[in-house]
Amino acid sequence: MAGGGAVSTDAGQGAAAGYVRSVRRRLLVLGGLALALCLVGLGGLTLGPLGIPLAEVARALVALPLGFNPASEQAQHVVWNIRLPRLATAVAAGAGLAVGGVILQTLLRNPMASPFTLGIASGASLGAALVIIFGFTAFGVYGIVANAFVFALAVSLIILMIGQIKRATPMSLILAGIALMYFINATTTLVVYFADADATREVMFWSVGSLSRADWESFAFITAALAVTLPVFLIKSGDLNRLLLGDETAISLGVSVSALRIGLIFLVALLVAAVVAFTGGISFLGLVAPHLARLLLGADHRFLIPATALLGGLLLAVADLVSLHGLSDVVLPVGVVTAFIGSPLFIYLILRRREPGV
Amino acid sequence: MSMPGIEVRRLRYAYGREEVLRGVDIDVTRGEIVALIGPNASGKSTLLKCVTGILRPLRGRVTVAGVPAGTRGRRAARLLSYVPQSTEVAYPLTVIDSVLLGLGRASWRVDRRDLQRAEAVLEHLGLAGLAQRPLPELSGGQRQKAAIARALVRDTPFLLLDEPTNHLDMKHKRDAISILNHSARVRQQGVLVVLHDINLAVQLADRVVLLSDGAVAACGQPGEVVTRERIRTVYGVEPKLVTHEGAQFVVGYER
Repeated sequence: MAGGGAVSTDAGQGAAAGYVRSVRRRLLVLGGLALALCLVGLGGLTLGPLGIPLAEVARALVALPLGFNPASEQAQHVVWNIRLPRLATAVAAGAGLAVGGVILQTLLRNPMASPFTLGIASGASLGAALVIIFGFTAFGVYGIVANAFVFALAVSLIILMIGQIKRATPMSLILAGIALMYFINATTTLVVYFADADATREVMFWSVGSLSRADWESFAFITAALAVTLPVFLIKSGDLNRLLLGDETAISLGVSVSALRIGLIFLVALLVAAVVAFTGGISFLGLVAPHLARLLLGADHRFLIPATALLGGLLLAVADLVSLHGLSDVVLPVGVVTAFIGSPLFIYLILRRREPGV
Repeated sequence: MSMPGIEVRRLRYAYGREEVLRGVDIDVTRGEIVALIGPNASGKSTLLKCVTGILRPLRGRVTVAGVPAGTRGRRAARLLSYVPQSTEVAYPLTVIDSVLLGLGRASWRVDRRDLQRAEAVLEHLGLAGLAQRPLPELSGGQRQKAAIARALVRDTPFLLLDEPTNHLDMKHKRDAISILNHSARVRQQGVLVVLHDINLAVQLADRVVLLSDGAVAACGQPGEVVTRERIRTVYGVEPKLVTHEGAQFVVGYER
């Protein structure tokens, strides 16, 4: 059990008792987020051209794994083959982008850092676009993912190198990231300019961000990336907390700061590449979800990382439902919805900031 | 029990081509307070960072309890605690969370003993009421005290502080003095502290090291180091000195 699991309940009124209470409160928030995600998910599965009542959704969900007879074959087909893979991919992709964001914000100690603002997502998009346009399709989707990863990693390394230059402040780092993002986007545009119409449409999908191709394969891929990276992030949550106190303090507390930074950025690139390769560059999620999570339960990564994952999943699931059902006869790319929801939310977060000097 | 102390021998360090430490020797043993004083850019903070292992010396040898400075890993980190000059925190970590981070155990579990230690240190520093407050919401002085609390909770043989009284008012400065005295006399920690305030150094330290332009200009008991002649040559001002209880204090400067 995180934190206070080993602490008894009779701790009294002092600072220790307050700590135990705060741990309980944070666990409660995590439980609340998980519950909200379940409710939104269940609700989302009922929506669509074929209205399926909640009870039937529930029955269809348990029927397949438990070998029941479903209420209706059609409902079971729609839930398992159409809605659930898309929902599950949305949750996994949202979690991946949000967790990538929170780790970057800590590693670079910059509230503006995210896979999108630092150009890592754009890099992955460019990597995917190059494979699509030049038609290296020998390895199918794996080729796209691999190249997206190589480009995401390359962008991460460039940002890290800029960060190593003497006196590179968090702000100059983020500005360099933004410049890099524009450069990459321009490169993508240039590549698309010389491509044929089909390839252009294909690349458009990657630059805006969409869940229209989400299926069980994309879910499995993103979940595998989460399964590899999330446990490492959680194990390192103590060191990430120490990093919040500044590099010098972290080093004096025995953290190998450079190794931590390079190792975790590598994992973030892997995670973001896996997400972007299947969903394109969904913006703002990686920026906003970590800030919302910090508002709810503070900066302790033991709680912050799971909370950010849940919130990211929840936000993308909601955004996807809005993109599907918000306008009666048009399906919007989910990246457009996250940008519309995310940008005012981010402005609000900036206005209510109290932290000094960042 | 005699653990070797902090030993700095012929230490040289440079930022690029600019040499900031030019062959420094100092020693700190457990149970004593050594104050590092000197003008701006004389190399005080750099010296402290070389001892902490944050910076790697260009030449020379720095050992803490016989272990070379900069040795990585938790075991080496348990030899000393460091309070940096800047205590800015990027995100809303609470005071007690930040103090618990000082304990170098596995990060996931916080046991009752850890909590009791953290609580005792927070009470000792008068921070108990702020335990659940996020660090970015505190004043500079309160954050400085929280950083000191994080260093004290570790109970390491050596304690290194860079301008720990920077943001503190008179009362909190007095508290900080008594805490450092307690660390050295009662807990037998070796304390190496960078101070701007010469009078505070005279009041607090067993020995004072005066750095000038990256070299030790003088080292010894406060009365031997803080003299009119030395202040004139090292700081370039003509001090007005008064003697109080056998020690000399700077009360002003001639124009």
